[in-house]
Amino acid sequence: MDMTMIIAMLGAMVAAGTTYLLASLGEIVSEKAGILNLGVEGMMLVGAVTGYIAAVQSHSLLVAALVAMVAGGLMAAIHAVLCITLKANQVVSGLALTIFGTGLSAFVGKDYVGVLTETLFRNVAIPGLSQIPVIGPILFNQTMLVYVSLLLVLAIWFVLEKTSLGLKIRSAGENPAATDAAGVNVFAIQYGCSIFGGVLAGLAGAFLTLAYNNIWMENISAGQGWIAVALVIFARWRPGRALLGSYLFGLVGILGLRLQAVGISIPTQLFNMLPYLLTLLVMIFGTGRPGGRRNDGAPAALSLPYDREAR
Amino acid sequence: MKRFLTFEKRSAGTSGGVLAIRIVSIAFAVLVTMLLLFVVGKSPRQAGSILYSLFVQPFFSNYGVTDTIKAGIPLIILSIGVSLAFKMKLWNIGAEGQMAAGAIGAAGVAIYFPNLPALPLVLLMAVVSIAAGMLWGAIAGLPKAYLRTNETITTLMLNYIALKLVHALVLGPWRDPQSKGFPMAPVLPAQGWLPSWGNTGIHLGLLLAVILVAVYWFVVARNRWGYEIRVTGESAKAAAYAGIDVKKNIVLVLVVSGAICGLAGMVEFAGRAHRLDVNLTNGMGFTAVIIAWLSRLNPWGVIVMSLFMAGLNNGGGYAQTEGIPSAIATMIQGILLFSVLGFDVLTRYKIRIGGVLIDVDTFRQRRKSKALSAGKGRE
Repeated sequence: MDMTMIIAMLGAMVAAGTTYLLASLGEIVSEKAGILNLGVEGMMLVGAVTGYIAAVQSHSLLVAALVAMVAGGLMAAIHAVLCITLKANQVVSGLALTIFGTGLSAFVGKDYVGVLTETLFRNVAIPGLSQIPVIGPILFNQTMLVYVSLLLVLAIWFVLEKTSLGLKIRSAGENPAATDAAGVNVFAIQYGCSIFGGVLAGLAGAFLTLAYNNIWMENISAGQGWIAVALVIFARWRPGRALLGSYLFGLVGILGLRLQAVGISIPTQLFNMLPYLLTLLVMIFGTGRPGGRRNDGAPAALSLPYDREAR
Repeated sequence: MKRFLTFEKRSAGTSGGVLAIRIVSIAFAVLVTMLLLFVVGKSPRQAGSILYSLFVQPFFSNYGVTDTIKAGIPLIILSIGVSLAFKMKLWNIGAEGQMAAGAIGAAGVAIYFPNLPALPLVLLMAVVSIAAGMLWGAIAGLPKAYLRTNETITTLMLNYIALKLVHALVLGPWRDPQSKGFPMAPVLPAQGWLPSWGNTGIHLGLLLAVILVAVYWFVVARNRWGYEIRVTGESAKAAAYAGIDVKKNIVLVLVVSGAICGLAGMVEFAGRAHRLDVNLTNGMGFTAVIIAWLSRLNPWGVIVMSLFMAGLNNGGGYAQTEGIPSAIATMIQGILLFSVLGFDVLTRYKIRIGGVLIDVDTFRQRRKSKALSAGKGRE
């Protein structure tokens, strides 16, 4: 393998990893506020299909992206009403959301399977930055959504760690009762973060159909939403680590195929198992503190419904 | 400021009215579904036929009931496994992977010892599948107990690992040379098939499932270990004070839960599928999580909800044969779950909306007192 091949591969890695990155960033925000949403796969699919239909119909990428984001946000809103207002079990509600989204997307999109569109996100080389050796062609000759995802990493890190809104979000996920007592509207924070998570999952779906696969087909995400959920843990709820994790998963995803292409035969399925194995090992050995407090970064009140009256 | 919507915990232990709430929530889901079908331009006739496929055919026709029971068997077993872990508030969502591990174990036995006589073959398959499920449970249980590793995540990861392993095996070393390139393992030799009842296809697994339900009921309700599980589930601190070895129980419960789900893999393999492929588990492990929750870990509820979910799944298939996309059925399942989840709040809380109090207990008491006064009138 020579340098150009490696650079091409790393560029493909970034593209493949961006679906994970967008979705896991959204899930990080949601979970930071205490709302676990296992419905990423469903939200992603609904975003993927609505975004694609909007692109076919409107010929506008902006409209398509907005529609996908709104659709993802609406899906998350169902989860929010059930889990925040009605205090439903978050694991079960998330599973239900995935089931619903899988069915809804297949139903809504059945007339768009095989329909092609020219309204796609194309690679846009950023003047200047794309000229940087190695990094330029890898990171700065990508689609617009890749740049959006990179900016989001910075923005979400900044908001969560450096602003008072971030403090409110984090404390809502750590100790909602104390946060409430301090005069913060915990429900509003949780609704907002949960819906924001859905918006990004929807955008991740649009990335799949309009920037990566460039087509809609039933169940196009094929489990990538679940990987995004796993990535949040892998990243210990940190946006920067989510970026590294997403690209790692992206690399593994494309590496199996590439290695086969150059004649190195590793059973692809075993290869695809690696990210999960890695997450498992990191979870077990990377974060354990025997006897002491765990340091995996998980919000303390994650997935526990906040009951104001039981305060 | 008085809030518009308030929640008040119902007194502990009142599980009454759950059935009524479930029925109302299902009716509500049907209503929403009808509305949705109307919105997407289905005629009332088509809507009726969809509802017929989903709710009537699977439960009130001969072949439907048979199919429902067949599909329900692995769900019952899995849900019992999941319920046991949930009872201790261990969020094992790894039933899918544990089932796959069990199926791998059973299929391995069938591939390497195809000439064993019936009974030894079946027993060996059962033992190996249980061992595989235990292993999968232990990989989550040991770190949970000794390193406090979040079991939801580890069991979720273990799902993928098991499913990828199935995929790798049926694509590679275990691929049936006669499958014409399809990724599937060879068919289980006939002596290893679980005996079935007539030509219905309802197999011995049903008996096993019912026995497991009874054992689960006995353990949880009547047995010292079950008591420890319940106490630990309520409060790990209180359990530790009472001298219960919480760590040991965490490992034990997850291992036993894994063992049961592993066995479900063998039952499905030897009872219905008869060959290993990537679709053997088919999301059943996740459905079991939903069932366990819907039935509130009640063993008899597990049977009812398993059959209900099995029928609903089959109903999607019936709808498809009538030219209605099965996606609609999946969507309706989602709506149904949302509805049940949403209404479930009434089983745990009294709700006050504006000035109106919604409380299942008051309805029940009013009915009771009505019945009582009616009885008095007759005296």
